[in-house]
Amino acid sequence: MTQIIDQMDDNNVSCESAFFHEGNYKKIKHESGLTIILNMMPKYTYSYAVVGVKYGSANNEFKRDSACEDFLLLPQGVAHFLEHKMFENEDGEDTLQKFAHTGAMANAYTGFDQTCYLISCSQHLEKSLHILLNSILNPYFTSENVEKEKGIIAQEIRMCEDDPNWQCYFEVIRGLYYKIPIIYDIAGTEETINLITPEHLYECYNTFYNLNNMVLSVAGNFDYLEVLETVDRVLAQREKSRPLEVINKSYDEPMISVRKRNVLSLPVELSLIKVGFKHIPAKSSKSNFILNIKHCLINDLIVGRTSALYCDLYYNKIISRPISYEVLNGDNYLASIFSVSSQYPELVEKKLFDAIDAMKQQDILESDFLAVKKSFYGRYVSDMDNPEIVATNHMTGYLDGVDFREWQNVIMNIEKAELEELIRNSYNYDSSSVSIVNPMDK
Amino acid sequence: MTREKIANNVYFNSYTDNKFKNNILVVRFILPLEKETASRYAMVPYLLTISSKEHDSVVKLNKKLDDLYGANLWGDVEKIGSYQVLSVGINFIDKRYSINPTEDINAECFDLLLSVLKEPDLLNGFFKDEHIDIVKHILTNKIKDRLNNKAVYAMERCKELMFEDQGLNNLANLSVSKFGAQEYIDLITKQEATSAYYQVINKSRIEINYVGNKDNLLPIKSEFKRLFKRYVSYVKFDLEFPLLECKPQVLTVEEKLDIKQCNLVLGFKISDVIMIEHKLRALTVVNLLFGGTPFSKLFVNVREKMSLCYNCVSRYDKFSNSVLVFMGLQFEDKEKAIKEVLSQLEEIKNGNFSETDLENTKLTIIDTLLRSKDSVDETDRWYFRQNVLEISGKIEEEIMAVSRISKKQVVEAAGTIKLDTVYVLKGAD
Repeated sequence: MTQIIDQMDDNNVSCESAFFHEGNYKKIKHESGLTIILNMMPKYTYSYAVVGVKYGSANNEFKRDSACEDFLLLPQGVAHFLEHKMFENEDGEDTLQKFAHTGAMANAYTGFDQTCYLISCSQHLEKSLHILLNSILNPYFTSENVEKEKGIIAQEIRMCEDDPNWQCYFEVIRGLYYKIPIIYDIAGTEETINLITPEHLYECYNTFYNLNNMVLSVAGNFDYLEVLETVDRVLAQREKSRPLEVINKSYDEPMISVRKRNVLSLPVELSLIKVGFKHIPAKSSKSNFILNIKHCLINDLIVGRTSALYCDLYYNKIISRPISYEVLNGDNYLASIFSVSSQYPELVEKKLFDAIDAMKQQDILESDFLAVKKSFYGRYVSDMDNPEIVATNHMTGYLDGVDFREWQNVIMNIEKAELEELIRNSYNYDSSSVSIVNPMDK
Repeated sequence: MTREKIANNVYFNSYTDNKFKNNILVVRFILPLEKETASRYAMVPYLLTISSKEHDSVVKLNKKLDDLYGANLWGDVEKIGSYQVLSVGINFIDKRYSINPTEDINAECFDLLLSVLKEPDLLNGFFKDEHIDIVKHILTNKIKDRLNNKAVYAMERCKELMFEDQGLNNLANLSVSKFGAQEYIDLITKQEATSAYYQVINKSRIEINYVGNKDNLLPIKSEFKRLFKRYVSYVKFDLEFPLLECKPQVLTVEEKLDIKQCNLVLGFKISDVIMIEHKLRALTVVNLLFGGTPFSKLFVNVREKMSLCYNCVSRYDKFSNSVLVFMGLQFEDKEKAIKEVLSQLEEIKNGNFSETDLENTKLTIIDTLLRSKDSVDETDRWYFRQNVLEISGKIEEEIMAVSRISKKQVVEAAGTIKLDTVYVLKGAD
């Protein structure tokens, strides 16, 4: 029944390492269209399974197939609303109630480009997986259950509105991007969610929840044949998914940022600052994966705990904890966002730009380069103890079109000169934006 | 976990499994939480992890850590009941994963942790002025940061109100913040901070935990034995987590902030004469049945049926013997929500839950226990909490004990939960 189509790939890519032993990794294209990635970690106790759908809040304008003339624009927050409703079943028993019988912990989340449904359990993986897949494959939306959800999501939206970090984050994204719909809140607004109907949900479900647009990734202690049998059982009654035909709207995004600076006043005692730089995304998925890691290394060099900037800000009591960063990476966008809390956000801002300018003027020290690489490698090794992170990385890698197992090779092969070129070209004031949240009395 | 008393009031605990790619070594100093000393003591873990005698600046120490594959040397302060727990720990990848096989990450990380404890980076006998200033700044910002997360802030405020002037004795009490108070932080001198270091080393109950690879365990244990050989605790104390009396009348406090959502916290105290192991377990079950899972009474009724909120959870704290229920909702729905929460608690007290609900809740606890065995951090934390509560036994034994809890025990335990304080953090009008 199950077709294993990816063994070739395993041989071609040299991914055998201390982390991915032969036989412990399987990548399978199921005849239904679903891709399955299985990473066995036999000495561990629990398993983590995640179903990823390549559909998120930023896929809000699309054509179902090439026959459609116009793009369909839906109310913001539909992908997230759909995620909330996927655990509702026709038999009246919520999926979360069903998991109660297996002891699994279940959850779901929506991002800009993906929606994920996950379970983690130490026992009865097959039963829980059965419940999870059944639930995702059998939508049940009614006017009544959609209306009921609006009150819950409205409170989730308000919770985010009261979260200064979240507000600061979206202001920096809105400061960087003109058109890409990551500028809208993932959950939408109270106004937009009130417009959502069961028909909207079915439209999105039927377009994007196509097995060819989904991946099941499992890591931890399990028998892979049992997992495959479960998938076969759930999918047995279903027709094979048709080829994916959706056309997402693409956006012509200029490299220059929308605005350089934005300041909000919120009830906080300590200011927050986020500084974003818009980068040019790479053309292919593989190069984007490599580019992403290169940006992480550069960001470590700029703000990491051994950088001149960190030392200066820390000793001068401008910051009291390390500056963190995120490399935001998706369809047609790539950005670095630095973030920290400080009593003096303007000083952080000035010194960060100065530090980047100084780095552009000189070559990176070989010792600094080796140190960040070593430390970055250590972080990856540390993640390999965690079935949740392993399964999630395989899933994200697949949805982004890359093989996560290549991380070690990628890190080892990055050259210092590549980083020097990147920092000179990709951290420009013109493509930057600063977002500050100050206390109300400041 | 193997537990050994290596000196008076000093315990060395280890849990080894060669499946781990990471190791963790943590030394925890436990002291009564007192208003006068809390801030001074809170400085110690941060002062010890900012630099060491050999790597005598933040950058030098961090360079060393980067060279150890990004090892993390950390200081932390937490509060359990009326005690302050000061931790100094190190997390690092196991030497089997080093790129260069001659590097011994494990030995170097052990040495680094021991050296910061044994020989802190002092100048003329005192911590350096610049480091004192940095650590004061760290504590100040940590106190300020609290308001950034409204839910955490509301729950902490509720606990402060619940336990005002309550605790172990007149000095150590549950309403003191783990970092002390700003006015105390501002006044600390380098002499006081340095003397706090010696007091912490000499006056605490000490719990050393190692979780990770088996290699190097014996040498590290003998190092710690040598370090604490001359250690004599001035004050011998057993840890106590007493039950505290409820207010004669429920206290309701409303505070305003410029926010969109009303944060409502219901603070319950546990009133029972004796706390014994099986009661702690039964209360864990009560908490999960009440508001700790997506099939709990609160999630199903307050969130799913009544659509009042996105978050509606209960938390049980074994150390302060309290249960907090948190909700984010519209201010207008507050009374309706309080009524429903209390009526759901009554349901449990009256035994109105099925055997299936009980078995499923126990299954959740068991699954979480099993899961914690896969993480060095969670294994460390789990054993630490068991050890301070003086509950011995492995995770597997705990699982057996949980599975034996009866409905009768759950109903009895629920009967000891009583509302004490209602805290409302609402938006400005």
